[in-house]
Amino acid sequence: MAGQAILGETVLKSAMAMEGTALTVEALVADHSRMVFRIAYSILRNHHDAEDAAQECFLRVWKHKDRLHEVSNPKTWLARIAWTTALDKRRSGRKMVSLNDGESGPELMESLSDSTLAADEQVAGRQKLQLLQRLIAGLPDELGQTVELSTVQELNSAEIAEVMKIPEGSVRTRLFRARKQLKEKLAVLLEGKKHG
Amino acid sequence: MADQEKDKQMQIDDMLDSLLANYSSAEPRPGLETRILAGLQGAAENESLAGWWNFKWLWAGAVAAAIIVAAVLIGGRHRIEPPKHVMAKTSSAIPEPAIQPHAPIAPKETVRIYRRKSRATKQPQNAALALSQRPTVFPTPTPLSEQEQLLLRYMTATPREELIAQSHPDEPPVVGDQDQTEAIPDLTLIPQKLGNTR
Repeated sequence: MAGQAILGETVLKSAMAMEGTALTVEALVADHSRMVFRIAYSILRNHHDAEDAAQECFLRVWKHKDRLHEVSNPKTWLARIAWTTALDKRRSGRKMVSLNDGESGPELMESLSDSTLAADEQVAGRQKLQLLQRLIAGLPDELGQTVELSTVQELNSAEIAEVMKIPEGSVRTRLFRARKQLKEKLAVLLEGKKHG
Repeated sequence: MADQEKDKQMQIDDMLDSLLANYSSAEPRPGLETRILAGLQGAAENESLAGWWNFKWLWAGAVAAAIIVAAVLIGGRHRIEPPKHVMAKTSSAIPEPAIQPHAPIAPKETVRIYRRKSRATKQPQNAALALSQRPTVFPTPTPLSEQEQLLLRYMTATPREELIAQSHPDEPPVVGDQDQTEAIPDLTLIPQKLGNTR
């Protein structure tokens, strides 16, 4: 950790020694890198890919460093860049868990209910997330993307609307419809477990 | 029955909320900012390096273009230069001879103009240049030679009757019949002698 801190300080100094706009980019990295990573992770569902997307996002920002002064809301501007970067990365065919991979929905539900032991809690949590990921992947794109952005803690509905370039009311409508569909799918899975 | 359905819905709601709450709660690995800044610094260095290389290639391209242009100009100058002997033969600056109108036209001495075959395919510029300098009068008038000038002077100074008299060839002297028969040897025997030698 100490080595990383020294390295970070060195990189920070060299970044500040770059052109004057580099300080602004560095400030964006310091303030919003966590949000950028989470946005990318909500879409890519992989730490390595999310970090690559965050890196690429800030590279895109750096390429437009001469126009940073024109940005009115850096947070949502950066969030939109992160979102489009992650979507591009997902479309490019990076590994994504499909609905047919691994365990099926009922099997996951079975394991969730039976995993009462503390040692299995971590596995159960991962399986829960895999289940939700598969349910979201089954939604239409506009609903699924809205739900994915809504899971990022740093973004509220107004910021999601600005990122997606849609009205805030549309965000709420989409979230309501998405939530309804997700509950129906969960109910079907629970019924299947009971009858199975 | 309704309570069971309500409980079921509440259970599903709670499950969905818990799932969504943890969906994007992943934390990045330590040092994310450092790695991002290092990546940016690397990108900046690459960009400056690429700019320097572009500048270098620009200069190299300019020098190469200058060399090519110089080579083309030097080669073109050698190629356009016309052959000297053609220019000398076809020059229109040669004065025409002064010929008196009443004097008979003497047969001209044929002047052989030596011309090298023009390489039309290889040197079209030379062919075009030779065509542009071709004289309008053909054959090209040439000055009289010294012998021609002496002959012309003699003809103008000599009376016309004397010239006519001199134009006839001298008649052979009249010889008698006897002398003619004696003078001509008998050639009939010669073939026979020749035939015996076979």
